[in-house]
This record gives sequence, C-alpha cells and structure tokens, in this order.
Amino acid sequence: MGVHASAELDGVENFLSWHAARPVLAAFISIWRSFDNGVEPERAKVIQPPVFGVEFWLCAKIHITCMRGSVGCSDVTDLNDCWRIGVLFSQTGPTALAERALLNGTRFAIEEVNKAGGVRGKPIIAVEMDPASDEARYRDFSRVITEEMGISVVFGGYTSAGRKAMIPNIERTDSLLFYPTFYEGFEYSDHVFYFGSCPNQYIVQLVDHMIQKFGGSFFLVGANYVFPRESNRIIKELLSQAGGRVLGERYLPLDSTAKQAEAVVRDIVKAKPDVVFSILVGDQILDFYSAFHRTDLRKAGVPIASIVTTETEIDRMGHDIALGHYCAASFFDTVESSGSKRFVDNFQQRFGESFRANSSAEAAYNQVMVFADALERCGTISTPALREAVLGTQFAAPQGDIRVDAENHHTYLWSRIGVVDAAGKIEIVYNSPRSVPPDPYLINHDIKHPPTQASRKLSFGLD
Amino acid sequence: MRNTKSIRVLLVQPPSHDRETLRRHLQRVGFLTETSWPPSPPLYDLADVVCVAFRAVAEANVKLRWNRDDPPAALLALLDFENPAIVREAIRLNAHAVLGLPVRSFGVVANIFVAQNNFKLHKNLSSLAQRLKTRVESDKTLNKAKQILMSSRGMSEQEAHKALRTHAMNRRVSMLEIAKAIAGADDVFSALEKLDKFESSKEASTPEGDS
Repeated sequence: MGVHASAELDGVENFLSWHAARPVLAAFISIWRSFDNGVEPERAKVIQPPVFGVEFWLCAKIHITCMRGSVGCSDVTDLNDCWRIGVLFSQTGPTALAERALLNGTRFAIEEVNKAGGVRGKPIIAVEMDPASDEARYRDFSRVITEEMGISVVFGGYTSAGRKAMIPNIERTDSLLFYPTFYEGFEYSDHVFYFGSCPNQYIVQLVDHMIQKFGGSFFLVGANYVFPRESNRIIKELLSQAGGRVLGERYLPLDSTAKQAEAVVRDIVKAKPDVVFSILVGDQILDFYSAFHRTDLRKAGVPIASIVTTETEIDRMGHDIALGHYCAASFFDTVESSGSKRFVDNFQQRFGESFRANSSAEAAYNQVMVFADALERCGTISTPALREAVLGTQFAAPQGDIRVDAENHHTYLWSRIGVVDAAGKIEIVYNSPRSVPPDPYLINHDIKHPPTQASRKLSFGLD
Repeated sequence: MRNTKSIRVLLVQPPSHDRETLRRHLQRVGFLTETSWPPSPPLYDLADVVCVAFRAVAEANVKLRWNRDDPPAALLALLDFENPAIVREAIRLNAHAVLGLPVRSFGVVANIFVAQNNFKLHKNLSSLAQRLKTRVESDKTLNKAKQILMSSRGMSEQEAHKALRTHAMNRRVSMLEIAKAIAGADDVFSALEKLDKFESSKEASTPEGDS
C-alpha cells in the first residue's frame, strides 16, 4: 500500500473539512503504527485511536513531506524503506517568519540527501507539525511525534521556551532532538544536540565590536522571556568591564504591538545611547526597527545591534530601514567561500529571492546533514548508536568546518559580525579566525578590549 | 521530621499545566497546599514552605516582597532554567532548596524537608548571632564602666564588679543599665573638663602676647 505524498490538513481555513480530515488522519496514524509491529520490536505499540482534543485538530497542520528527488515517497510501499523524522517549526504566530528559515533549511537538506540516494538507499521522510509559536503546542506535538507516532529523531525549536517544552517528551521516549537556534546557554541533555551559538560564540564579539566602534552607553531592548534576559545579564557584565553603562532595559511580550514598540523608541530617544542593543524576537523586530528609523537619534547615526535579526527580517522590514544596523551570527549569505556560495545559490534556486539563506537556514541544514552522515555510518536510527555517531562529527558547513563537541553536545561554530548595506546585504566586518569552541556554562565573560587610556577619551555616554 | 499533613506549602507560580502537576503531587503526598498568583506577601506568614517560580516573577514584572534577612517561611526555588539571570535571584533571596521544572515526582518531598531544615538552621543561627552580638556589646559597656570606677575610685576589678551589681540590685535594674549610666555620665564629665581647660587656657594667654 502506497503512502500518500502529502496529507495536508488546515482545519482553521475550512471548519467542515476537519470533520472529514480527522478519520483520514486517524487512519493514517494507524497505518504508521501498524508498520511498527514486528519492525522495531522495542517500539511496537498497540494500535489505539488517537485521542486528540478539538483544538489539536484545528491547529495541527500535519504535513508528511516526501520531497522531490530520486528516492520519493511514491516509491515507498513499506515504512521499513525509509527513515522517519519529526520536524517542529512554527508556521504561524509571531515567530513564524523566523522559523520559516529553519523549516526551509531542513527541507533543503532532506531533499539534498534524498536526491543523492538517501541514507543507505532509504529516503528520509519528515512528519512536520506547526506549533504556532506556542509553547504548549511544542510540548503536545513533541509528545505526539515521539510517543504516538514512535518517531525518535526530531528537528525543532526556535525560542528557548519552545525547546524547553519539548525536552521532557524527548527524554522520556529516549528520542533525540536536534536544536538549531542560537540561545542563552546553560543547558545540556543527553538527548539534545545544540547546533546554534551559545553566548561565548556570538554575544561577546558583537558587544565588544559595538563598544569599540560607537561607545559604551547602551540601551537594551528585548522580548520578555529567558533568552533576552540572560543575554542582557551578560551584556551588562561586559559593559561594566569596559567602563560602559546601561541607560535603559526594556522587555516587550512576544506578541507586542507597534504602539508598544513606539513607546520604547520614545524612551530610547530621551536616553540618547551610543548603541541600541536589540534582542527582540519575531514580528516585533519589524515594528521596532521601523519606529526607530523615523527618529532623529537614528539620523544622528546611532545604530541597532542585534543577535537575532537576520537576512529574513532585513528583507521584510525594507532595506532602507535596515541600512547601517549590525548583526551577529555564525553565517551570513555574504560569506565568501565556495561552500557558502554554493549553498546560497542552490538555496535561492529552491526558495527564491523572498527567502534568503540566513544563519537559521544554514544551522537547520547543517544538523540534518550531520544526522544523515551519522546515520550512514552507524546504519541504525536507534538512539544510543546514533548519538554516538553524531558526537564528535566534523562537517564542512557553508559557514566553514564545524564540529559537534562530544562533551557538551554543542557545536564549534564560526563567529561573524556584519553591517547592512544599501542593497540589504550584510557586509562582514568581523570574522573569527577559526571556529569558536562552545562554552555553554560560562558565567563570567571577558571583554576582549578592556578600556585603555585612549578609549576612555571617547565619550562613554557621559553628558 | 513532621508528618506531611502538618506542613503548609504555598505555590507562588502562574496557573499552568506544570503548576497543576506540582500541586497535585504535593497534595497526594499529604502537604496542605495552596496556590497564589500573583504573589501575595500576607500569605507567606501562613505557610511553612513557600515555593516560588522565579522566572515567572521576573517576566510578569511583579514584586515578590520577600524579606531575605528575616524570612517568614522556608523558600523553595522552582527553576526551569539554570542560567545565572534566574539562579542568582534565588540566591539573592537565600532560597533554602531548589526544584527543577517541569517537576518530577521524585525530589519534591526531599526538597520540602531540606528547605524546612535549612530555614530552621538559618533562623537559629540568626538569633544566636543576634544574642552573641548583644552580649558582646553589653560586655563592652560593663568593662568600660568598671574601668571608670577603677580609675576614678581606685577600686579593684572585683570591687568594681560588686559595686555595679549591688547598685543594680538596689535599684532593681540590670547591671547593664547602671554601666550605661556610668559610661554616659563619664562622657559628660570628660567633655566638661575639656571645656574648662579650654576656657582657662584662653584666659591665660594675653591678646597681644600670642606667638
């Protein structure tokens, strides 16, 4: 019996259709499960009708992706003949735009692997779900994927809240989570691989650069949750080492309005900092940059530095608004290497101008490629073997060579800083000389350039 | 260790799946459990152990108003992230124990009892320190008074001690009070003496003859 290429259900659009869709999906899930019996005895489950609430059906958009390529879903007649993985990135909600890049990077990598013949001749087949930027859905869907569907490898997560919500289910079902997003560190799980930067790989470098170039009085603005708050703790410590200071610290809820962003901008204009440091996340980035753009402070040359803003947000806000602002990431689409150019060109061919490759897409791509490589070597998707194969892996990523640290499950990543030019391209102003080892439990960071006599002469926000 | 049924636990945590799981487990084990959100300081006095979700407090921008120097109850930190921004808040308020979120059933009972014990220990040490401090201060005052008596009246130490004691008994006040009075009076007399000396030295020198 063939598996359909895509069983897509979006109950929000058509209320009636979900009545029809539900039994189809229930049957589909039963079919998935029936292949479990006798295939992987330790994961065999009794077939039970899934018990999901109405809300789940309205909001879940289950997309079974069997991308284009030489090994396609239509060839799969038996679920023994493929590797099933789960993909959890939001397609709706305030962080949908940012998570789209993660999803695109993931799909891009899966397609590349399948085009080349899959892993040990079998394609990777992804079950995607949309957690809608909601922590509770990240939790529930991670349970559905790992427990109900018996899938033991998940690629997912953007915000730290989302990641945190998935981990208990991942650990409980002895699954593995590949998490692609830069974050605030201080985490480890046997069952998680962290493919995004932790603070010593990107925050320290950007703060140091901005102090050197613009001065040490910062105004901090961020989304109201753990990642911006902990990042600001580090930034404040670095500033005090450098003899700088914080003129203000504001937090906006993830679903903030344009008015709320404008209110913060008014406070910033009053404070007159040398640098605005933004750890805003999601749609609020566009509101804030637009509001700031209209101020005299901006016209006077005060920049926004951000560890979150990427090519994606730059394109959405408009190149005129993004011009002259600073970003930090392990990858920009302007990295000049053959590996990077190849990746960027192919990515653009696949997704078009409106979804440029950014660090999120690249990290999502890297983790699937590392997974595929590890799977090829160990030949089984069982957690202990796969984990062993992933740890210590080196991979020639678009950003440069990266390596998974066997001790802390994080990744050696490159560190770059760029400024947006008139064409919306990120001009790279700093490149780390080599990949930076991850130090996720580092509490006290050191500024690279402590104040010297010469630098003290600069106006550090003294009035 | 007392029976769980005699221990009152207050959960200062926003309503959530997590809080419900923790509350149910605390109840299951026998603790008298109440929840409260946003934080309500008057309720702290009614509990033996107050559990606080520190990250939620910071993000909701509410005031905990916890007296860390003289806490009303044991403080158990509920932490869902281990980064310093959150952990140091628990440390600043002298949390007595920690539970990780999302909560596992294992660890709840142990941490409630450890928190209570640390709270009791903290309280005992605080009051001991206070008593010792008071004792040291009063010893200082007593010795000062004795010194005054010894130098002004030519008494020996035992005689001075006896004089203080007798005087205190006669007046039905503490030795410390007499000692304070003596020390206080002595301060006034020395000041007066200094003033006299100053006045007389002024008179002695003639206006023109100053060198």
